[in-house]
Amino acid sequence: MQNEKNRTRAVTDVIIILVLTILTGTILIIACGANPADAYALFFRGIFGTKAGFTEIFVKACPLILTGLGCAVVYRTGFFNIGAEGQFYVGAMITTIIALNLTAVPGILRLILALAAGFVAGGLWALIAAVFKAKFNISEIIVTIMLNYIAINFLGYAVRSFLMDPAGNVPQSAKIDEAAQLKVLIPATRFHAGILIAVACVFVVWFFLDKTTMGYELRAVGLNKRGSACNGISVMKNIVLSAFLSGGLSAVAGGIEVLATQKKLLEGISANCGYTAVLIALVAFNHPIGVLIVAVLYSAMQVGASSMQRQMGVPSSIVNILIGVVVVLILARELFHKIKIRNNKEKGGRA
Amino acid sequence: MKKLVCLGLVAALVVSLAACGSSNTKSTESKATESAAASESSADQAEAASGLKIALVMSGAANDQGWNQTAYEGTQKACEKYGCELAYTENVSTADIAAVFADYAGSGYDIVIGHGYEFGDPALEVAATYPDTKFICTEADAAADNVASYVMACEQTAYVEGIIAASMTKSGKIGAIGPIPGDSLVKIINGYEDGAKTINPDIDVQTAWTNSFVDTQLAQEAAKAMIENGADVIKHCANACGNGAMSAAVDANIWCQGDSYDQSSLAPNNILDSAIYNLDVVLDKAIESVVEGSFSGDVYNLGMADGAVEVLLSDNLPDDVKATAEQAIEQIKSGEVEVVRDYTLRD
Repeated sequence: MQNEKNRTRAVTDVIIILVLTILTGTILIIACGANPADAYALFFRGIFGTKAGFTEIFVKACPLILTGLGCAVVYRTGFFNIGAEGQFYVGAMITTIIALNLTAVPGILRLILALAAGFVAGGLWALIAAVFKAKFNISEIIVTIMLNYIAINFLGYAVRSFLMDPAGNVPQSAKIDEAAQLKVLIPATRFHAGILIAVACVFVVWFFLDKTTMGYELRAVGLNKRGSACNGISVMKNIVLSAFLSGGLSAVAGGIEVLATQKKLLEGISANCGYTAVLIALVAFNHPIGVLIVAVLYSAMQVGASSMQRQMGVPSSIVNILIGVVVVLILARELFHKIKIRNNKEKGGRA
Repeated sequence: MKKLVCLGLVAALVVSLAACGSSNTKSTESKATESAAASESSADQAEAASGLKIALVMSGAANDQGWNQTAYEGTQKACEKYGCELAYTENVSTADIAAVFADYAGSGYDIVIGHGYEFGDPALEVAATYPDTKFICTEADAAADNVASYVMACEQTAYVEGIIAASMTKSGKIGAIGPIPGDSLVKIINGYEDGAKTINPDIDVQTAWTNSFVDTQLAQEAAKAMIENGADVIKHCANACGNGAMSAAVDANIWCQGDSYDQSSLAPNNILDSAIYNLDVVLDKAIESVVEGSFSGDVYNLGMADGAVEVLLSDNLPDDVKATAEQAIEQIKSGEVEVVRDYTLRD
């Protein structure tokens, strides 16, 4: 009974959010002097019109799924890691180094090795903030943001010096040879094997968090630190573990971008997905399956919007505004229900 | 409740961070309506003429007063001439090029233009999937069945400028300042040196790289150091950054040579010449080849003979030097003198 009530409420909320979002979008498109019907038609044609467009959603979603997953894991432990961007870059860098230099190792093995090394490196990068938090209680938000700048700028240095393609003068690495690349699975598109890795990670993380003792401990620490400590669950161990996992997942996102989509390391390769990941985890309420769904929807909006912008000249920043609206509405919904529950309780108390 | 406020704050922080990041990479034009209007008006004409759909992809803003603006205006001009429909995307980061290319090609655009060296590789990658779309890259070295690269032979203008500088210097020392040592800029500095050495084989050509396209301070300091070393002619090919070199030359009252457009207003009494790059001519030729059906995938070097590059001589030049320069220009145009295109960074 109660469950059914919740479900209908969730459905009506989603409808309200959708209507408000579409309304805002329409107003913005009209403000740009374009015809909303044409704009929306192009928006959907961008998504469903071509095979390349449709598969591009998953190409774009792949790094967002992994970084979003990374964020979701640590947020469950109550550790606000904003460092996915930096961890992404560390992973991309280490993966590139291994994939380019270990040429003695045959292709597929080198690929796995490169991604694994990226995972470990990204995990260690995130550990810096975790240790600061666990040992000295220094705000992980500040530390991870600062570590982002270090990683981003170090990558800029790397592609201009030791990682620079010796054949050119452009700040990017040499091309990774075909043997170590993640293959394109659907010809004439960019749909690559890395997407399957990302989806597999979603289910592994979901299983780990919801079905194992270790996952239970992680969540317990997030819900109540003192309670966990009193019950013999080490807070520090769990923060460190979840941070390592989180950094590793973001780093794999970077590695896949290098090995699958770009095939080389270059600046700006993340396209800010490390920051978008925070939003995705928030909107998905830190649930792994939710991250998968939200990341795909987010990418679909981006693909549709880019197509709309390219063909019609409607700025794709409209979609960024709409995403802001969606996030605010979802948070507002939470707040609204909490206030309602409290009011109900107060009423109940009096009665 | 407290947790929720915290969540909201973090969300705000993240949104602002993402916004900071995207302003220079992914964010798109605010004057998109203008582009829509522009493409609509050219679409009207398209019915009368070729009706090709052209997409221009740029790494920066279409109104950057330099590199991308010249491309945007050049493409627009050619589109009007041949009755094509133009769409464009600005501020495309290197990581996004392939996706943008594929989107345009997949939506039936006939010509996709990438403006800059970095567009070459993605063009090759995407072009194989879309054989019906012609990909044109400027300043790149990519060529395939449906990919052509158009390169401006800037080494030719630099060669003439080298001749002018070597004829004007009294100290036998001249300086050349470039932004980043990329292929299309290294060949300018090398051409300059080669030209100067035809007048005086022992001439001392000092070179410096600022590693910036915009920081005027760096070019100014580099120029000052060269002037202290005795250089009395300074040439730059460093976009906006090079303005610093011009002002250093004005301060020291020595000769200087401009780049990209007529820069005589920056140093009216000190300028010898400006190297002019007519990107509109290059884009016109490229688009014309598709309109006429003569397109073939190759790397084209367009020089003085094609009108793609030219040297604008100033009135500060004495008559004899002017004559020498004009003779060199004629010789290059006729093919009598062939300027070596050298991409290797010299010490």
